[in-house]
Amino acid sequence: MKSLSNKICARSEQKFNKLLCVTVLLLITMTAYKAHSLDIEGNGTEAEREGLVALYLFNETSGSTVNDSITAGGQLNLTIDNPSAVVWGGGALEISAATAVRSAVATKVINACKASNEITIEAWIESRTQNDLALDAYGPARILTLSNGITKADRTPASGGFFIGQNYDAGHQYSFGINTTTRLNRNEIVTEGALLETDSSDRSIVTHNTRQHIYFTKNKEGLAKIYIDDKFGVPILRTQMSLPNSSLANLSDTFTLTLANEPKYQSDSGLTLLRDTVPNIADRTIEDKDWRGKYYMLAVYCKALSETQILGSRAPTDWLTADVNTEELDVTKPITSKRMLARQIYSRLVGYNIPIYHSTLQQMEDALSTDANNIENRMRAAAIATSKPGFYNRTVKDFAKKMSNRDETVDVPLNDFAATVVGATRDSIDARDLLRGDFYYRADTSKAAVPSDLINDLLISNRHYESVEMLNYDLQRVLIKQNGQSLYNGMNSTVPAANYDAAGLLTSRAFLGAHAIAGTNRRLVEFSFQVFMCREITQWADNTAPDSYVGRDVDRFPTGSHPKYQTSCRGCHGQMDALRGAFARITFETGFVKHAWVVNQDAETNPDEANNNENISTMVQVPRGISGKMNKNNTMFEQGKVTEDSSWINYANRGANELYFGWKPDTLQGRGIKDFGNMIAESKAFAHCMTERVFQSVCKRKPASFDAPVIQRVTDKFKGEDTYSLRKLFERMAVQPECLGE
Amino acid sequence: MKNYTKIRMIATLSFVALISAMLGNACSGFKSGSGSGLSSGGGDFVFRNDGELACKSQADFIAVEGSKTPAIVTKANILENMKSCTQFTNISQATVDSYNQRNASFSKEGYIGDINSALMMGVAAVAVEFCNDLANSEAAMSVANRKFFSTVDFAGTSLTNTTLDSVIGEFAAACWEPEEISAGSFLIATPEELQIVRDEIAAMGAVNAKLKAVAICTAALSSLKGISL
Repeated sequence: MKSLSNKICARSEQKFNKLLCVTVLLLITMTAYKAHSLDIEGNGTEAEREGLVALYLFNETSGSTVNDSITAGGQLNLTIDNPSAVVWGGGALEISAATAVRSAVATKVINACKASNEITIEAWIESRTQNDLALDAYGPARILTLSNGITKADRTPASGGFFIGQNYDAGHQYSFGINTTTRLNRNEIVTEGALLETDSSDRSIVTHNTRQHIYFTKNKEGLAKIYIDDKFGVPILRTQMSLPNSSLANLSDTFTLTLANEPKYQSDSGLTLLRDTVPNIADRTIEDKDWRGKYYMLAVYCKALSETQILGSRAPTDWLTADVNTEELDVTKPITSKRMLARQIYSRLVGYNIPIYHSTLQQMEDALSTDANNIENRMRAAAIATSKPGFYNRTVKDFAKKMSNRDETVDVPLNDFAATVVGATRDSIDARDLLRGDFYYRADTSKAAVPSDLINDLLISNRHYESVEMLNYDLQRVLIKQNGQSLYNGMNSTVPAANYDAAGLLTSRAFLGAHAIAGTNRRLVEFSFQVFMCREITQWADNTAPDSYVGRDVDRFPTGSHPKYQTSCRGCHGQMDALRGAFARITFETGFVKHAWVVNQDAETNPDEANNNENISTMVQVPRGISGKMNKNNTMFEQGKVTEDSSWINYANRGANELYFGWKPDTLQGRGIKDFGNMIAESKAFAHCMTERVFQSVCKRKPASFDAPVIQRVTDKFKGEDTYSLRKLFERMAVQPECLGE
Repeated sequence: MKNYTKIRMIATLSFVALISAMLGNACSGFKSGSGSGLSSGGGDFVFRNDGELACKSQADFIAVEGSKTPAIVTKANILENMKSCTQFTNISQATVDSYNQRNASFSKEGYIGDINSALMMGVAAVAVEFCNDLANSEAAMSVANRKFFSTVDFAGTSLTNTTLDSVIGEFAAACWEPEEISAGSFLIATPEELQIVRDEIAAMGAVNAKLKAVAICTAALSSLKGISL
């Protein structure tokens, strides 16, 4: 490990002195994951070297030969065509001008990969951008290729093997092409579906001028994947695809292994040059695929390295296997009513069935003890079901997803809102803290190999959570609570700002992304009530509420009629406008939450332009510190309320509203989102609504009028002895006779 | 595969037959509303005017006090349910691909009213791939280690009635909710349910034992009982 640190620190840009560099790296590696593949120096166990057919470590310090460290099957050394185009040093080979580094016929690679029909290329490389090089390139520049060129002597497409390329036009993109019959041009490879590319719009994937670790794999079933390390050195699956016709059986016996170009590029005067002039790019041909960058290590395996080999302890596991019973089931035992009850509780909580003779059902049956009608016994049985991964990965996740978007659908990707609800359920966190707490849940990066940069992957995109779900990580296992929500200032900084008005789910990216886009932030109030108190705006409209907070953008004489305002508009706006001040400082635009205390004020002073701002680093604030949308359309009724701070007051506290919402008296006014969230959390309606939602989740229907007693009964327990634990709420609801149809 | 098409048809027919036999109970909580575009199909279940089976959508469902609300596995759980009830998790990429291709036809939230022909065909298509994986796995085992197909001679050309009943019984025990035939007494599969599957397998005609075995598995997993919660 020290020699590895020395190798890396020798190439450092001298930001640290060498001793400090080594110390830092040793500390990092003490906590780093250990995958089950080679290290940068090619060291590995016997198992880790399985399938390895060629290995280049670039330890030479001069000359025109790159040695293959694998002698089995004969060394496949590489020869540098133009030694003046490369620079040796620090355990790396830098390609600084057009050349090719190639082998003789790569017989051992061809034979081994044809036999296995699998391949993995593992590389530590450093790439450059098109701007760095002023390079005109046509198609992916070749980092590595197994071929004998693009075209045959008769100008028809040549047979090809595979290539790893960098697309200079995009710059931030690697590609992996496999062609097994005749060499297709790049467009045809794309249309044939045999080209795998990383996402060129995500500029965090491919880093330039720094070393990066990448894997390209293809298994015998045709599943191809690209893994690239993130900035923390964790390999992340970046893209995968099932490649059609991906057999390697047609690899030609004439192919050579070539780095940094195709073997028949124009500088190679020893070969017959076959040119199709690239349109609009002078003096280059279709054969010129020269790459610039550095090679530190290159390994060719005729085996598809597994996820576990590449990701180590971070590899996703099949969470369903935790409940697979491998022991023989006793099918002679009679099926009892208690067993049936256990089965029903299990399937409704977990979301799928297990065999009637499964040992988990036996445990649940035992928990029901002598009295299966006793609710506490039933809850003990239900607790067994809620200890299973399926409960979190399916039931709670879907329950949470529905609340996280405007359409209340489960058909959305996992997001920070849903992950936080799942984590809080698992950890029995007081559900009220979901609306006022300064925390969120994310995947533990020691357990999940997913994009995890706070700004790029959590604040300005949903990439982190989408990857967790796409890779089917067990949420019960990988979620970790993070104290302290953050905000991005839009200034391309790497340090996020603390959110001093964090309010749990109300300040999650998903919730604000759904309801704080454009508009006037009234939707935030409307949906806070709808999602967390199960009350649509039409149900809590009240024409008798004061209208002193109604904004200047609301016409007091719609169609010339003031009574129309009084009867149709005031009922909603009187209360909604008085509450929306809680959200006065925020908006959601250009892909992330903007807070006026964190993002610079835009030069635009017209609040009507607030929702047209496309500048990432600014926010229209009118006045300063207040989101411009709060005061837009201010000429409609100039005597209306001007929002100048984040104060708010709750006027939904009269008559039927007072009865339904059950507000706690000292929460009826405040400042900011946290106070607003606390008001909702402490209301009777919040607990009641959560109970109704859980009822719908496990009882598979909306509550009917005759369900009022069970809803009230369970709500009282939720607020009382169950201390607002969502997990207990699920358990208690699933065992109620009304839910089970008894 | 042509034979898999046949298996999917068998599974669909079994599904329809089983749903007719059982849906009276399953839909006992449903009542047809007037002017709802629904017609009574006899018994307690209803058909929409377009001919699709409709146990009422969740939106206009009228609950009946004291009755259990029927539900099916959600689309997120279709494969999990098959893996969990059979305790077999080593599925192939073909099964995963089949699921991904048909994902859109499954129920998002598990409401019984989401059952339609696209859902039925989709579940059957996934089940046939899953069952092929299961059959291949057990075919490679010794008879003593098999869970479902211990009485099946995979190299043979037919299944005896005894073998048929044995295999059906194993899948019923694993994946179906037992029926209460009298107070406190349960059967994992009623004689009527068993006969439906037997008849459909017999209708397959002269196909080899493995295909029949896969067909039984498919019929069991893609039936309403196979996807009910």
